[in-house]
Amino acid sequence: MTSIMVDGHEYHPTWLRDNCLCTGCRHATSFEKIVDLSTFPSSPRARSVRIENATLVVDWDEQPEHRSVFPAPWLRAHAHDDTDRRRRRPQTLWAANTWGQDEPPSHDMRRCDGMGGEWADDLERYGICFFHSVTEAELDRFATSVGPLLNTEFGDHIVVRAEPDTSDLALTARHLSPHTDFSAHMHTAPLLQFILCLQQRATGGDSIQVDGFTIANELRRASPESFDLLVRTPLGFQQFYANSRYFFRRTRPIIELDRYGDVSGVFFAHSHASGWRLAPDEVDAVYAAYNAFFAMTKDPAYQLRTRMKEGDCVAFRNGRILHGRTGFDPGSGPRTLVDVFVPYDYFDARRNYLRYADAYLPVIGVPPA
Amino acid sequence: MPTTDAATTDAISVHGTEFHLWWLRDNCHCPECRHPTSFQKLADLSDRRAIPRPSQVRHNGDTLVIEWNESPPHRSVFPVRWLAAHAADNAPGPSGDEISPVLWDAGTWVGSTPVAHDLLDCDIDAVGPWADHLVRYGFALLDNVTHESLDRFAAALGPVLNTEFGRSITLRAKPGATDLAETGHALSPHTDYSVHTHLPPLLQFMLFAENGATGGESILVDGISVAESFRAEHPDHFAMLRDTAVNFQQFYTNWRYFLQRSRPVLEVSGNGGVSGVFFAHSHACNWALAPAEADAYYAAYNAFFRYLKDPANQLRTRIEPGQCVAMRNGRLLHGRTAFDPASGPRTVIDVFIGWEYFEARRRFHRRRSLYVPDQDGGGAGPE
Repeated sequence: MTSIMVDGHEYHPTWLRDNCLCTGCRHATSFEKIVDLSTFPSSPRARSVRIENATLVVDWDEQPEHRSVFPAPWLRAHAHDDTDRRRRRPQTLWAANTWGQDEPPSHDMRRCDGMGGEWADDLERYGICFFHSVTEAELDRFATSVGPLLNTEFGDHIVVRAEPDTSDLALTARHLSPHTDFSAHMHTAPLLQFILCLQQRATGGDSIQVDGFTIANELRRASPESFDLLVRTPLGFQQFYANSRYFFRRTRPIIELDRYGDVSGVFFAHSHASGWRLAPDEVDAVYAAYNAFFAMTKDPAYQLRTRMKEGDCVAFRNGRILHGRTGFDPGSGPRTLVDVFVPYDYFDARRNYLRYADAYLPVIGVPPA
Repeated sequence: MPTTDAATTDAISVHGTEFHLWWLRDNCHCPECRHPTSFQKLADLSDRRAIPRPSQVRHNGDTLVIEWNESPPHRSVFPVRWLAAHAADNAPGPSGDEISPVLWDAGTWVGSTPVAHDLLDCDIDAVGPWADHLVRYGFALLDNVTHESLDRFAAALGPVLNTEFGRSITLRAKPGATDLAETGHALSPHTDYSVHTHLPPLLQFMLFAENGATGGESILVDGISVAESFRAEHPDHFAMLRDTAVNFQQFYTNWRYFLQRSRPVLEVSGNGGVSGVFFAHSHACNWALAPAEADAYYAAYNAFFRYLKDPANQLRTRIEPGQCVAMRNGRLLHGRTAFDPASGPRTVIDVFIGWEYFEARRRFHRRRSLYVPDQDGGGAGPE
């Protein structure tokens, strides 16, 4: 079957027929697909193909006759060989010295728009961004404007402070080594995590953030065998909650690659890493790789260490950024943080919406905003 | 009590199973190495270059005691039951659950329609007949359900998922719908949320609040059963759907979200069995498919889609008002025949929790005696 060329990109006739934009093939207001090629007697064939006014018009060899009309911007947005797709996501990997002696820029949440803006550009680029002068109510309003809040076994606002006899290490005063929340021992989607500081009067308790992509790439360069092991070997992570009666357990590799072979996810939590089911002859190599990675998460050269003030808030992509804290002394004063999560999908979906709205809205018959 | 000098090997054998020294030291249960009330690991071996070595190992029937050659001295005590449950060669089932899935097709339900469980009899500890049915068949039919009682029940099992629709989704046909589910259209068998988003497999509750319209029969499909038959008859197509990530998307004008995800339709677990089926034709856009692969891919996709639509693979049933289907999204696909919105009201309420909360409750009861020794119950089989 000959492909159809438009603006230097190839489109297969079956793909075009499957993605026909007419209201018989696509539901007009939900834009979901109705056409079903699995009922067609044979592969779709174009009877005539022409490009006019930046639009591809295909008349199909069908009974009854069928015509598909594709605006060039819509086709361009879906070209299979769109190598720009990755480049549209600017990403700067960072380490401790990226911001020099300065604090990273901080945004006033009250002036930020859930649809996007500089805060969102920072978050996409660095995987992290900072806000100041935030209240819990303001955080709730803003996070909800980005997407639905994740409801967890702790509720949709998690208050983190030292408690006696707690079922979670985060609710002690202990040091927490850099980790990702909810995605190592659980199957939760990658999350946009907000941490708001409500009280910071204890001695200790500095915040630690690490760009997991930076250390994964560094490990890849320094020790390709260890890197490969952490990509290939599913490791057990677990959490036993006596109070809420859950025993979570997940087996997953620490490092995830995308279809291009680039690092696309880092999922790690030492305190949950237990009960690995490794054959004895794998143990040495896996522990060596694990310990090399773990040591990098603790290396100050990769850590952004900050002391949050009351009203400071940090937002980051869990699955790229690892977070932790130094230990603190609960006897010296209160330290209270609030965690709020939104599935990262919703943040991404807003970025996508803005990127592709011009290609979609005219097709749906909605004037671009 | 036998005493072994194990300093010369890298593993300790307990009842014929080898436990590696790195692994044992890393999993030490003492309160310095494992926080006593959260059970989270505190031990950190990442600054060690040499393998941990014991100075003495004692093993009686119930306990393995290791004195480590460290300064200061360190002792690890492992219950043998705990070791047995975590042995590398103690191959677990896909979930470790004592109930095995029973794969089904339309024939399974001829003359034996699914039992309806009164919600009042359903245990929020994820045990009992309703929960066993859900594990075995991927769904359970619940009866005597209202929106309020469903919300309470789901929330007791696990945190209710907030979606862009809110805490629950009320589906009825409406003009200008931004989702095909909110029309009278037929919906081919599909899984919700885990195709065009990265949400994990969900436990989905679908309550029929009203079902007075003509049409709108419910369709349930055991995706794992279909995928296994598909593999037997079309191994090449099966491999294509397992190995090729395709693209699902949803463009929402009202919320201004353009959700996209790439994933294979079929997911296979470490032991080779099908562990998940993620499919939604109305969201499938396949934008990253190279033209050279399109013929082979569409042949596989269309063949699988025909299996899902084949009535021989479907449980078709009309769900009565007040009844609710609980299903494991990722194994079960659901759909409906078209209905005529003018002929009467049809209102479906969807509530979701993460499937793993259900699984984690069951695992809690199987395993609690390994963590909270005073309580009864909990076996020590593979996990």
